[in-house]
Amino acid sequence: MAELSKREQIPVESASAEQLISPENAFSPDVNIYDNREALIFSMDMPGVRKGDVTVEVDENNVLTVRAKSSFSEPEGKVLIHEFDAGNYYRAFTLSNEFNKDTVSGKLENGVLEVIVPRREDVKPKKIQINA
Amino acid sequence: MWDLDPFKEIERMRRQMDELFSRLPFYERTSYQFPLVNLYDDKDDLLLTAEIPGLLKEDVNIQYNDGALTISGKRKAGAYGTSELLRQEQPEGNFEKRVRIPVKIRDNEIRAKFEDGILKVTLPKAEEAKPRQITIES
Repeated sequence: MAELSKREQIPVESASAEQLISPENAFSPDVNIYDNREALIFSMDMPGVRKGDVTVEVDENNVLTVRAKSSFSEPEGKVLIHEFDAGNYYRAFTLSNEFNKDTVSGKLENGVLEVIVPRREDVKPKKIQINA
Repeated sequence: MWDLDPFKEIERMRRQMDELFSRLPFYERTSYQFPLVNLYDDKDDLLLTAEIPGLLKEDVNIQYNDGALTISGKRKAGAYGTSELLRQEQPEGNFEKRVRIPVKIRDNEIRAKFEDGILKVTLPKAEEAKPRQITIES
């Protein structure tokens, strides 16, 4: 099972490229994690992020890292209400070795990133045919 | 004659506190509920931005009436067959947020855009609400 680490929300000071995004200068996106036996599905809220501005990687220690650059910038004008800050996103999860890191896929839609991490074939539940 | 009535004194202090709070602009009282909003005053327009990830534009309802903008909709949880939810942080379900608009606006010219989970609503100010340059006569 995945071991999860939630980082503190810290607003962005400056980050020009996705590689520079780290827990110190980015927001931790809200995540839902689903397990459908075939795979783990991570759904992450990243409003303001455009397609192509996200990197998802799994390193040799099985750490799944998501970095995303936000395109939202503060508009001109006097602030009357301010409930959210614009910023980049960073979040990391440690996966157990029952997952296949070579087939991880991701999709970004309407400000939500979906990352699918399939289980290795040999640990997937198998259907057993019952012969009459 | 000095008359110190402790109850009167408390009442006086309470009134002073009430007065102090009533002077705070109303827009400082916001709810921090989904969706989070910002509101900006930029000369001729007010601009409202809101973070609404995970919804299609058809599923977001925006209404202006009685000096307030209401954003409502329903955020559905992801459906991945028969899956187990291991962790839930994303807000889900019906939402409605009402934001008071502090100036008179031209309500038939409100425009809205929704991109990458961020809603932007432009509210043009009514003529009488726009800043006016005053010329000083010599």
